[in-house]
Amino acid sequence: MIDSLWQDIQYGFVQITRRFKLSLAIIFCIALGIGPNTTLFSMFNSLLLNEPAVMAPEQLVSIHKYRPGKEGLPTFTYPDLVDFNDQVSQLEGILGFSYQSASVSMPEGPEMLPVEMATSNFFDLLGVQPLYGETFHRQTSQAPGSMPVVVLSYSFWQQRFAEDKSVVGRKIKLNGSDMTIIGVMPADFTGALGAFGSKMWLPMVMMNIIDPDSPARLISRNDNWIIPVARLAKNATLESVNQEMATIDSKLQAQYPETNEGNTHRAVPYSNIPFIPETARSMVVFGASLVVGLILLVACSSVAALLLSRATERRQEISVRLALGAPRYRVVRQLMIENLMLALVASVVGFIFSLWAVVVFKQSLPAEIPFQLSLDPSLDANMLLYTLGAAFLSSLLFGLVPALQATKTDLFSALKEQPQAGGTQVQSSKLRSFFLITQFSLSVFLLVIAGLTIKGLHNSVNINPGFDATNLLTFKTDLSLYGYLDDEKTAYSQRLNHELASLAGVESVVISRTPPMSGDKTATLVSSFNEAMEAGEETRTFYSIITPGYFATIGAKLLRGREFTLDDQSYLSPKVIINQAMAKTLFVGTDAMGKYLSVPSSDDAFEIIAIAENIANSSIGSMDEPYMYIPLGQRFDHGLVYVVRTEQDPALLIDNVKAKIAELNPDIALNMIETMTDTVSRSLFSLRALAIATSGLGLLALLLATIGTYGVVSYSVKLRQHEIGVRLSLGAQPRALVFMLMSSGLKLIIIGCVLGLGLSFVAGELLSPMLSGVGPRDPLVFILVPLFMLSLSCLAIYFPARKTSRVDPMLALRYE
Amino acid sequence: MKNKKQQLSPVINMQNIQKHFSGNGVETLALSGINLEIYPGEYTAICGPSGCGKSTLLSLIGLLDGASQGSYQLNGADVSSLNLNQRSAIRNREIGFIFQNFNLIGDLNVFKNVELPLVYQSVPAKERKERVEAVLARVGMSERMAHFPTQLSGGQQQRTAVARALVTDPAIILADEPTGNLDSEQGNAIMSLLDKLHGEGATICLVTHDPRYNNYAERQINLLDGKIISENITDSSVRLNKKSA
Repeated sequence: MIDSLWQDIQYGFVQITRRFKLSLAIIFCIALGIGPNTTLFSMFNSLLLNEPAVMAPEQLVSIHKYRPGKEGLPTFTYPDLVDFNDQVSQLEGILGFSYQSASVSMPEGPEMLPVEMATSNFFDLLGVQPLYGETFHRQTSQAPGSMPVVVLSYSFWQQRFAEDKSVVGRKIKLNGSDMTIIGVMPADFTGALGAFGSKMWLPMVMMNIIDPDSPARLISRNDNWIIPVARLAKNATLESVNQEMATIDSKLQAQYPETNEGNTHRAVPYSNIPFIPETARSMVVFGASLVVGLILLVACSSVAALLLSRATERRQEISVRLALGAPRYRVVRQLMIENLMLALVASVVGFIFSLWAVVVFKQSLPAEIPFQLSLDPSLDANMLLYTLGAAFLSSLLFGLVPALQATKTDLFSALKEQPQAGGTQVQSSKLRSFFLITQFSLSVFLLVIAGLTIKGLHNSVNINPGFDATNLLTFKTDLSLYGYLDDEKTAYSQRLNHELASLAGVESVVISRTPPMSGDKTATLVSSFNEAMEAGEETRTFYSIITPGYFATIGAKLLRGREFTLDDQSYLSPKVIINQAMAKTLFVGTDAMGKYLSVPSSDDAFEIIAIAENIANSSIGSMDEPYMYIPLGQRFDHGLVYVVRTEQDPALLIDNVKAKIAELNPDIALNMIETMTDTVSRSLFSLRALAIATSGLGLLALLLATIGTYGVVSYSVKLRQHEIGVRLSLGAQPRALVFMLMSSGLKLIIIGCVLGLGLSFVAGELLSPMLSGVGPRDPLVFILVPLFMLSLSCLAIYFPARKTSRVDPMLALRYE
Repeated sequence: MKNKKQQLSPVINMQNIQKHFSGNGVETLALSGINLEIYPGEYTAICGPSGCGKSTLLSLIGLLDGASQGSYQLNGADVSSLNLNQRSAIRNREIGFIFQNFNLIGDLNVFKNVELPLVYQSVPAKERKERVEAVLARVGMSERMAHFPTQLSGGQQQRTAVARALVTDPAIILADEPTGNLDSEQGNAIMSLLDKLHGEGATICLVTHDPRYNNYAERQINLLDGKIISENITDSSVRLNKKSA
């Protein structure tokens, strides 16, 4: 058995090297098909399958909180977490953490970095030891603000401290507060959730330096801000844990009915991405797998059609083997071994492609995400199994049918070198047509999806956002983090405003809580007062806080009324500006100007002093949402964004702005300093990523289909050389022969296009709600894609057909 | 000859064989009422004009195809209704083929081509090597073991095909127009080789339409329109004389 397998492998190697160009084309096609699959799996592997580098990860469980009528989410309030840890016996404990950002003062200036706030039992329950120094423990103080220490991640220590072991014990400034570095974690430790890591870990009791509202968060049973992970106690099961948790929930419900009524907690199997609901996760995995699976199918169809044509060429060899007594399965096995060898090489190429693709993906991620994403692909056991599995599956997909077909030959005529018997030839030709049609229908489908997505992106980019995004610079500071009191914040803001406005090249400076396209939304409930000053029904609306001159600075229009003035910042006569959408919603058929609004958190009636044109406040899709603007001072808030209108490219002013801020307070870090055009671009990241991915995959499918068509047509016309010779010797015109050869190929391609368009109609219905201004049957896309496919196919068919039609008829006849 | 028939069981025993082909609604009768017995050590030639059914009969004898009707015993075993894999196994064990167009595999060298039937018999590598080398020596191809078919003359290719047919020590060698692609010198050499093998005891069934080579066989079966119309048995001394002539 081993001897004969070895023989097959040797022969497979001979076949691959002898037909090197064909082998290369097959490897190329399959690698293009496997590459996207390996890339996707590599990401899934990093995000979902890689266990965290902790002690006995199989004992970890996730905890979901269920609120009445809502899907379970991995959240906990801090007091509930403390109570559960005090009472639970079926768990060794529940740790909690939260992803945050902090300004870290580095020699090169302050920088906003992702940090992780962790409960004191975090490291103990995970069972991890530091590389240097120590970590914080369960026994350490629970009093807020009592543990000013940090534990560094290996990557941060490596990048920022050049692996200096004496870093332990040194001070580091976070949001202006001194913290002592007590330890450095090993390289493989990224936290409790595998791929979602952090630069450093801080005790949760130090939330006060991260979030000025933390005192409230540490006692609130409404604020679900902690992600929990627990470790099973010895001999405990999910059932026993859940029974005990139900008892604790009952107690807490009785004890805190206002906040805990109906809330339950359940232990569920550990997940690397617990915060994405199972259904959403499955849909994303399914959708992405489907698309890359289709690419593999296109590649396999392409190669299968090629192999079917080649099987005709190898007919004599296969017949000899069968005539000499080889059982059919032996010949099929030999052909499959050849295919598997090609697929294995293609898998390796696909894996290398995935390494590159993941790097490109990581580079294209927005800079501001609140955690450090570890997406580094590695050839671990999962990856190795997947790569081998992909090779095996693809060799089956592209090789089995041609191998079975090749061994179903008419031995007698093959050995006599006579034309194949009608039935077998027809079947082979039908199979080839099937594969060609499959690859074309799938390619058209993928290209139409790509076309719709690109058009959606194009529309989004070209929608007038209602403001002028050019020459605008924005940055965020949160003075509360640096211990500023309200009066000090106002003084600092006024001074910074003044300093920035005095910079050369700056036209104006305003402040906003949520500037346009920032992705942030804050909602409140409002109601309108009627003439008798009776409040009407409450409506949910979004709002922002702005300073005078906001609309002029961002280049937005006020349809009626005026901008806020400094006088409007007084609490005595609250003023508000609303947008068109809100005017239409709240004041149907009446003039909103001069009317009053009631806001639940305020006893005052807010007078409407202007109606602004709708603008894209949080995203392109938010243009038509009701929105109101309140002047800063009437509703002061932390975390404000400065918006600077410049005379020239705003990127040129970034260094000057940083210098001004450092002059005022060197510890204050700027968060998200960027030009508005960058903000707009970032807000379109998901759509752009989808457009790039689908168009990339669509083009890949197109390339595969074209290569497949060219290969199949080249082989087919070569096999018809004798027929061509006869026709030419009988006086056929080469042009007529080209037309004859092209029409038979194009017939299949047109069928493929029609089927692909049918599939696209269905997919377009599902996709169009996500795309701005694109119908599910967009005529431009549905006409251009098949035309494009047909044009390329014509070229792929034309060249081999023309070459064959110009052969010397005598040569063609002699060849046969 | 009669003596031989009385003593031995036939290698090939076909009774009332019919073969018809159908396609596009038309049925063509290729062979009908074929009764044929070939005994061990016999050298039989199946003769007849083009299209008379010689090759079809050879493909049935060689189990490359199945008969539409009739019974067929090979070495005493009924092989009339076997499936494809069973036929393959018997072909591998009992039959050696020599084709007009040699049918060597271009990607394999002489040694590997000859070795192939033994590979399918799962013969151990060491034994394969010994047997292949012995049979190549027998046909005078020892010096060309590492050559590929394209590096050989037509005669050398056919010698390789003969070696491949002999290597499993089959019950019968079927040669379908073995000289058809060779010039007369090389054709004669191949026929002499077959004659030599027959002298060593091989059972050979030759299909040819070339009357020059009919006389190498001691028995000629004449086919016309799918039927055996006559059978000649040549005395060995006459046969030798005819060959020398």
